[in-house]
Amino acid sequence: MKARLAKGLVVVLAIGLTVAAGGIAQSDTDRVRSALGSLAVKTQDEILSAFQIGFSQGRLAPSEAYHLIDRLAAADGDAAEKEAILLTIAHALQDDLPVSLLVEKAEEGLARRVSLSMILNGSAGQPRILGLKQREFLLGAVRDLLFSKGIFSVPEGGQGEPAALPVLRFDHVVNAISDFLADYIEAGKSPLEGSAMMDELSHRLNNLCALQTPVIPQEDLQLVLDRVGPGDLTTIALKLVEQP
Amino acid sequence: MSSETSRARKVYIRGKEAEPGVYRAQDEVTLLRASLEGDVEAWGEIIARYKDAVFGLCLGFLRNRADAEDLTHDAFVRAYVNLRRYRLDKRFSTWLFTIASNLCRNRLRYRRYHPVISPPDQMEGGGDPGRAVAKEERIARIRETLDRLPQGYRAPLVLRYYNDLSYKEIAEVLSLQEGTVKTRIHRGKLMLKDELEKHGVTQA
Amino acid sequence: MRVDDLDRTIRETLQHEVAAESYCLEGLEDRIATEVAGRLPRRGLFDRLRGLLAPTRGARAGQLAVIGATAAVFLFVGWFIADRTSLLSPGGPGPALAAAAGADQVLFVMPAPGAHSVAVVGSFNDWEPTPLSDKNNDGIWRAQLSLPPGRYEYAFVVDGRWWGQDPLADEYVRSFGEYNSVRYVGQVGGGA
Repeated sequence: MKARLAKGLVVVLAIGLTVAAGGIAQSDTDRVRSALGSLAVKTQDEILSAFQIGFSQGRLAPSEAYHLIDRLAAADGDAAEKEAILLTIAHALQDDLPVSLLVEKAEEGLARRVSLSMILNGSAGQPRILGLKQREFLLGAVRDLLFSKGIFSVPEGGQGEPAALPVLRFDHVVNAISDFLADYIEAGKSPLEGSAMMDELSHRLNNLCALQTPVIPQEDLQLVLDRVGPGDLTTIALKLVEQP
Repeated sequence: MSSETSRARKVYIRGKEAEPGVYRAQDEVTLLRASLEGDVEAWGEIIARYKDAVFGLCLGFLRNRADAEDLTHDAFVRAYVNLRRYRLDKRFSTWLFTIASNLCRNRLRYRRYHPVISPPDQMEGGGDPGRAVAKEERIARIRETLDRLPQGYRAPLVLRYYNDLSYKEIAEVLSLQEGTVKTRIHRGKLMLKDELEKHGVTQA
Repeated sequence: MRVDDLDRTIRETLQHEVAAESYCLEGLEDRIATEVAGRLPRRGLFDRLRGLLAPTRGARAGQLAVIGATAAVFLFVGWFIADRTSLLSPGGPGPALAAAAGADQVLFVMPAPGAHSVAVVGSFNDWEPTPLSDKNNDGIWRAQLSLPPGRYEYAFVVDGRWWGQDPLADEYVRSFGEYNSVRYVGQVGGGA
């Protein structure tokens, strides 16, 4: 009996330690969950599970998540729009896209006290303002473009192939090109000027490369400049401005 | 099984005329509800409708007729036995394919597999013999490459090009994110394309 | 090879394989009917529990009790430890902004004589105000932040009003109809 008890205790400790290790992550998730709860969103489970994917991939930090959620909760505006903002980020994560640009823009919009509708949908007027929905579109379009050019992402520990980048490096490229396109469109410049776009994109990528710790390494920069052309950028920019 | 009952079962095979009698163009939900009550013939009708799709999935995943046959059988037995777990709000085919996919994954894990597919029958149809040979050549190359593709890339290709599932459905069946499904399909196709070009087999 | 040709070829191949092998599916319905005959689809949780709790299975019941008790104990232990360590652990993996090795000191400067409060908001601080200070009261407000190399968007907030065009910026971009400043931190060859 005593032996069995002792064995039982060892099992308890072993399992307890495993639970504790999970518990560290668990309390972050709980924090995010309770922040979501205070927003009373209907799609809480979907948002939470998408965010958890982001946490495990390193695309979203729990602290960023609950900072944004808390800020949304405190902001004036429609609960449905707050939910829509979080859902846009969740859907991007579900679609295997980096979300740091979306989170940053949402935070900026809330800091500027811009309307939630503006944060989400932007405005088609002059100057044109892009919302999270348009930025999400850009991220997906740029990702698909890179894939079509044979530039892929692989998860950690995956086998490398020519033109396959580890996920977080791939994310930097997607973010850089998407952010550039967003800035270009918001500056009111013409989507038809493919060569001008290429020049400005090159300039941006070079700046990101010429840092002591480059955000984008030289070989990734070269890959993009070799394979992406003015026509590609024009195609995406035109699709973007045609969005409702 | 008496010939009467088996005839009645073959009433609604895809493309054939429905005989008057037991099941006339039955709504799938009705068939599933009947199966839940223990109506084995209703379940037989479901099998008839889905067996090619499930077999195609298993054959594509496992690259081996004997294994694919076994697992198609197992998938339908398991689906029947677990029918209560199926919630009618989801597409039945997705649920069924998930069962088959999981069985295939287990089989691949625990049994050494040989990509033994019996040689194809002679191609039917006349026409330009040169053209027929080129087509055979393409098919043979694709089959060889599929045999060698890692399962992670092969499975989404099969679900897309044999079962015609959407990215979302593929993601559900394989428990992946949609974006990952897209990546895998793109890369799988690139590998196939590379193989074809390497062997000079590119003419349509 | 064109993309749609490849799609067609893949489809053809898979269909061809199935067509060649599907003869083995003949009579599948009958074989399965035989196997499941007399088996109703599983009734679910209740019936299985009833089986478990039947009085004849005394030893099993004892086992369940022990498992239940230990489960309760380790859950408590796990929760207890987690509660302590959550205070200590950092916020999970992710692009946390750390004042670690490799970060640069970046000077933010805003001339604003007579202002009561000046802050900088940007992509490096979740757009939450980091205050600048004017210690010697000369109207020039300053803050020095430690930032890892990268590209950052920011603006100044002077007594609640946003100023997006910092003369020290590398670039300006439009955002929400206004301007933001951009700096590249850690540029090779100087500049910060």
